[in-house]
Amino acid sequence: MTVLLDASGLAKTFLLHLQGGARLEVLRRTGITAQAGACIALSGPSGAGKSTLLRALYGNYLVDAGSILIRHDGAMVDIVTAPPEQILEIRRRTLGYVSQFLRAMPRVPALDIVAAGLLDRGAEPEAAHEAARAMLERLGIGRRLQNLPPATFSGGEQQRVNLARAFICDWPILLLDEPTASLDNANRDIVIAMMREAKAKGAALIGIFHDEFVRDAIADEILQLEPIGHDA
Amino acid sequence: MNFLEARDLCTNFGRIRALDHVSLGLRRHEILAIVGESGSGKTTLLNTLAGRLTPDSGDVLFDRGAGLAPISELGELGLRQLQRAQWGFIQQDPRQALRLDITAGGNIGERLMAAGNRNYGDIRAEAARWLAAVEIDPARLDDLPKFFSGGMLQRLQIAATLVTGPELVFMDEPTGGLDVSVQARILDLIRGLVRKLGLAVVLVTHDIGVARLLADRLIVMRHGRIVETGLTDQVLDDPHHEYTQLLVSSVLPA
Amino acid sequence: MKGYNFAYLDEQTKRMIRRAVLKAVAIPGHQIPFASREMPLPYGWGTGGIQVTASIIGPDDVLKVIDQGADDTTNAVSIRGFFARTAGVATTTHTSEASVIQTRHRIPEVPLTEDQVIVYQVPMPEPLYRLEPSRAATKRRHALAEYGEMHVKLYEDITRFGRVAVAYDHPVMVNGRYLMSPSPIPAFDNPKLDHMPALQLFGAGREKRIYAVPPYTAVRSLDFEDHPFHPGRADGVCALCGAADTYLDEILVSDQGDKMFACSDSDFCEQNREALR
Repeated sequence: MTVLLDASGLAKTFLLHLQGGARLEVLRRTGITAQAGACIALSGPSGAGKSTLLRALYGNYLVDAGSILIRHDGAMVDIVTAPPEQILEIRRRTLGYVSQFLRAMPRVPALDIVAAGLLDRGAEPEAAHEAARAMLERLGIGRRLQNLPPATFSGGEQQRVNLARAFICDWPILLLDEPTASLDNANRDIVIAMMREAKAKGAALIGIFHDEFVRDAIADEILQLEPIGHDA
Repeated sequence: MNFLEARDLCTNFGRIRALDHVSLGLRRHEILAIVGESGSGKTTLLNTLAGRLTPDSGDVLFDRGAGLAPISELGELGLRQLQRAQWGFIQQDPRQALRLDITAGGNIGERLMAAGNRNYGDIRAEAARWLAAVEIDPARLDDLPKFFSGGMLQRLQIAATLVTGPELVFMDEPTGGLDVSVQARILDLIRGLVRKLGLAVVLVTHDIGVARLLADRLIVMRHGRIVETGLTDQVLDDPHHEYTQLLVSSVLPA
Repeated sequence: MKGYNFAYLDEQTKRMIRRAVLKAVAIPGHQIPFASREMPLPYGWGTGGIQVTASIIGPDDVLKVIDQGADDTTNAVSIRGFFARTAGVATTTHTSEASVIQTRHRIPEVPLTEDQVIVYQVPMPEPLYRLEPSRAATKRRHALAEYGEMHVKLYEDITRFGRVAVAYDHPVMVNGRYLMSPSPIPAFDNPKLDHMPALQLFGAGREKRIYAVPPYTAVRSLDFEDHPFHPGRADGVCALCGAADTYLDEILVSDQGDKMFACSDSDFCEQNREALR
């Protein structure tokens, strides 16, 4: 099975200047290897570094040491040392991230938010909007809501827009942070199906799933993280 | 490959170090935000990059097609031609940039006329197209901006600046001073136009939300120095420098 | 005339003005500052034109002076008399006999030749002054050839009035480089400036500027491709000589508002009438 993501030796300590210089070590010699078609669930108590690891893999957090190799266009690229424009390029086509909450942009209708990823990849506007409609329908967001900006939606509706936005594209690697947290069971099951479809297409998934049902349904491997503790 | 670069810029205003060894690079189609509080030097930096201020030392370089070259070597005429065609500058107060007693069409057409366009019909059609692009009713082509709202004036300035198809646009607090609901509309407009036209942008703002919405990369300035730089989401979500942490934590939640 | 130098001005002053004229001829359309002298008539009455004429005129020259096209108005008569007394030069009202023609607000209908010099009286030499009151700023504009504002003004005219509304002093581009005020001649006369065989000199006494258009220089009135420059003319015929293609003065002939048209160029009209007899 192809390795799509290979991180090793990761270390991250937060230096909290505003708390008198307190140091919070969250990752120490952490590593993770993700293969095509498989899902790894990050597990551990609060403060163990699950979210930190996920964000580090996306380049959203900087690590103090280690390497994060990502298979992009056939070659392994270390995003720890890659220039910003390359990281942005990797995020555009190879590495997707599903956050826990939708960051709603004012005025942009749900349909456009969801179609954006396809348009970025050069799809025709007609086709992109059709696909966006279908994806939103599947997640229970009907016509009326599709044409509205999600700022006024409920938390669950917003998250479904967020999920549609992510799953509409094919991502070789997909990082998911509590994707089903605000969903009811019916929608949760739809998302599980979507994740299975992604795996079937060869995607590597790494996720934080608080819901054990979801974890059992989708994860092939569990990576257990433990908190390191304060250096007060 | 950078197409705009600043190398070791230093500028003092009396004893105040407005720019203290500032270097940066910008690539084509990239959006860079410079954030900082008043007195950080961000506006001085923007004006220096745009050729409106000469630094005490250091260089600003731009690639017009034949590689990076210092803009100081262009001569005043060359620099002004650059500023009028390949570059654009959107000011915080549109009233400073527009002629309030010239029609909307005349304001947009001015850059076209300065670039040598001599066909009244074409100029008018182009101006009308741009009014529509910035969501102003094209029927207002012959109206005087004197009677436009703040948001409309800013949109008119955007149209008048982008009409010549610049590759690089400098923006100084483009939504500062506007009502919040109006800001959202203008930001969305800017975001759309920048993406559609593939513009490179250097944007100065004190509003972190604006930076997050628009910029790929972020520079944080304090007392004339760059204290942190990186991808926008990384600098805002994982700030390292003390000042950046302060800035990020100071934003009032909605 | 006792106590005065030839043509009133002292030789050093004439040299200074000739130097300015040479510079002006070397840079067509560009305004050259000069140290305008006190003349025995107030500003606004042609002091600039008189100083230029005084500096170039020689004892063998024949001078014609017109004001709004006529040789017989008060100003034209006074200025002609002034040079007759201070320079003793021959004067004439016939365009084709003159070697130097000083004019206010018109160009003669008869085409000028390479042997002639025409000196225009100019009240405001700066074509941009209504758009940009600061002289320092207009200097920059000229230096950088930044004339967008003027085109914007023309654009606004077309937008507001359907056509360019400048009836006189319509700005021109000289030699493809400098924006110039042709002095308050009617737009009708603008085409005559282009590739004129005679040397054209412009003097502004109050504003202290001299500029020039050398013979056979390109002078193009500002316009748009699809709204080309249109030399306006009253739709009429001269009541005195029947000319249908000259610039006409409109003259009220009764208190009831009856009017007639007559050629503004009095010499041209007279020649026509003589030819008809």
